Amino acid sequence: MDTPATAPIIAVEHVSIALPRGADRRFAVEDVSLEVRRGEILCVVGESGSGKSVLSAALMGALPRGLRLDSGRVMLHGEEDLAHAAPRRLRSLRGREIAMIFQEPMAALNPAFPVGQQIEEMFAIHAPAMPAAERRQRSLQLLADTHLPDPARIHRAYAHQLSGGQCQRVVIAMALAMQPALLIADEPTTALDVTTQAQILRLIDELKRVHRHGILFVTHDFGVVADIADRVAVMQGGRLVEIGDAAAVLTRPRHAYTRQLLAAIPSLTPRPAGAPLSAQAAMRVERLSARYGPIRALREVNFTIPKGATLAVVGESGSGKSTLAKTIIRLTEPSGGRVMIDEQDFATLRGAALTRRRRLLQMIFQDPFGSLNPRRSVGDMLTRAGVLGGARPAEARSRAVALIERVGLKPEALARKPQAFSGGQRQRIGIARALAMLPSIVIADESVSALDVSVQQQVLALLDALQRREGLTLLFITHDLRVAAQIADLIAVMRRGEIVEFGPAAQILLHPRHPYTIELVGAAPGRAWQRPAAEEPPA
Amino acid sequence: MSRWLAALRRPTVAIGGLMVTVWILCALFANLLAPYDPLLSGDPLVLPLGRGASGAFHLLGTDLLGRDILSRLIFGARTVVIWAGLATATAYAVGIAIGLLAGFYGGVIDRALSFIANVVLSFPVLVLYILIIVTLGASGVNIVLAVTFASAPAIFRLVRALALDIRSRDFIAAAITQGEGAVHIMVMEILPNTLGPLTVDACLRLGYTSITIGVLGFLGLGLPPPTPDWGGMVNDGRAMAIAFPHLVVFPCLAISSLMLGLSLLADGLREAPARA
Repeated sequence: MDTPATAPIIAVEHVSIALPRGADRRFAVEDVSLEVRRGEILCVVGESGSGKSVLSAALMGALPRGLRLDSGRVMLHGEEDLAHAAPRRLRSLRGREIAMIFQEPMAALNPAFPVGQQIEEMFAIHAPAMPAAERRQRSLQLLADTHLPDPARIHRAYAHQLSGGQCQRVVIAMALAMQPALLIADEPTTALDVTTQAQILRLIDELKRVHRHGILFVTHDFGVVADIADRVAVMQGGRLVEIGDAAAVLTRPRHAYTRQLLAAIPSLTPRPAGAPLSAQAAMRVERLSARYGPIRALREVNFTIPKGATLAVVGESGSGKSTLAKTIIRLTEPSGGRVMIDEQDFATLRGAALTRRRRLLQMIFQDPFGSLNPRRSVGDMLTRAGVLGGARPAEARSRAVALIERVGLKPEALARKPQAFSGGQRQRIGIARALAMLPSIVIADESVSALDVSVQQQVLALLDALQRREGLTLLFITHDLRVAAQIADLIAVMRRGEIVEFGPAAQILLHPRHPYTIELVGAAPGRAWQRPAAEEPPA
Repeated sequence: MSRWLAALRRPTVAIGGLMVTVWILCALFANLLAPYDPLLSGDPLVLPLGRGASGAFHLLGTDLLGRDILSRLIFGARTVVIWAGLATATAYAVGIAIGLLAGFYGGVIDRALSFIANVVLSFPVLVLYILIIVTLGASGVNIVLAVTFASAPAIFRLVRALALDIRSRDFIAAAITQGEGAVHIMVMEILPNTLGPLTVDACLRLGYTSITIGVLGFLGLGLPPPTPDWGGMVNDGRAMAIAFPHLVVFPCLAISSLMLGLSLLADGLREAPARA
């Protein structure tokens, strides 16, 4: 606690962590050195598989099973090597010197105990002599420090009675209990809605400024980095490719990979308007409603998508945007309203008539791992989709070959099963499957949310190209305004089952009118930051 | 296919598989392997490795009626493998069919089928077997019926749980939006994804069914005599087991070796990676 303000709390020195034999590379983390000082936020950014989470686990001395430290040291306050400390010693340091904030706040809290009791447990472990009354007093203070309303009520509450943002505040309160020098936050806002994310980011920034914690913040999101980082470390394939002041890395990246990552981040600026929208409607949704039991998930939603246009439906979790997609495509039954496609109501079709016309509406799903049957080959899936779309088997087979090439995969891919592909490739297969039925409207439900930014950019570009080429009408569901800005002609903002604002993308993003839209646009991380001019080509 | 070869390299799978294979071969080639006719009476109560008055050598001895125990065990394997296999297969056919229906449709269909299954499961299995066999009479077909009736509900519950989980995945939603029919989705999309856990369960259940057939034989409810039947052999030798333990020990070893083999196989397959 009495270390000089400039001395690093933790110094990672040439750490390499070996992967088990048979992995796709030798080291999860290779020769990484970095420091975290008091009162600073060091953001570690990288795409999935870059080793950023393994690195943060190594700082806690909690490597996942199968991984081992190959070489290097992790020095705490310049005097103690955590990498070689005894498990007993590590246990006493965890929570006291180093504390962790997790990605899934709901999962980080025990559902069987009130959250207050879980905070008090930190004192019971690390300060057993503390009287119960003081434990309670301090827990309440921590809840107040993290700006939770009515700490006494929250103290008694169980995790399921709190919102995601409140849970994350409780997890942060737990982490702060013993006033640790270092906080490790592993994607702490990834599971939260943007407006909640903005609040949690403000809280973390306050912890740094007021309590002078050193914070190691692991994230994949450069918007978040731009908002809170003092320094940035960029990881790729287990190596640290660039580290430096946030301003420098974000505006004058030196490494080619950093430049490539920055270039891949979708901008909030809407894309330039293309050709004027068609006057002909591809789909007219009229007073569409849906309910789950007593809950009205959709309340009389109205909109029209012109032929060949892209409508992005944006909103936070629970806003009803996914229900809207499912209701339109009849995975969920509507409780009222109409979905007019070619002057026929899709919402009331039954039996064989519905089966026949299902071809018109196809969906690209969110989870690239759950949306393809692991037991069927890609060729089998695409051919079957073609046949169901009305093609003869031979025709469906040749269409499958053409499609797989159009989405950027090789024809050999047809013989393989989904396991052989990465997330981005699977999403391409999902797109090909949707197109194999020659639909007139494609609904993409958070179809790029599970992908890394660079892959996300490629998939968005593919969708854009396909749309222009085939004159496809696209209904794009997303929580990410940046993604919407990249692809949409029109944007509908949803909240509590209703569309609160609808209009051309540029108008919604640049001149939002509804207070909720204004809040949403304002909460997008990294809004103030402009990415570096793209004149330097990625090497 | 390479997955199966890899699985064979595990000791549990290899040993279990070997034990099961030996008994299957016995069942298939009983005529060639058995040294004597299993129904032929010779010198009674010859001890293992002994010779009868006629000079005939009996590796495992003879029973009360002078029938060669080894030959009866080899022919008994046929009874167990055929009827246990058939009974398990029928139970699976029924269990999978109603399990898929309940898991796919859910709602009222699921509740009705689950209720019936739970009622059947609430009876002690053995009581159920005895009731059915006593009512219908002892025969192979009735054993199949009894086993199907008693085990299908458990299989139903397993398949239903798996189907409920798989039903919620996006590839099922994709199939629905493509206009696939319900039967296609159940058989082509859901069923193949349940095969891993089902294979493990099938091995165990085959073992239970073998024991059941043994128990039924022991209770005199198995196949009518003189068909060789391991459980029946234990029962026949029971009274003289103190004096002539070989009458009981060898059939018991036969039952437990088959059961152990199937259990090892199930254990080994369970450890195998779930993903194809």
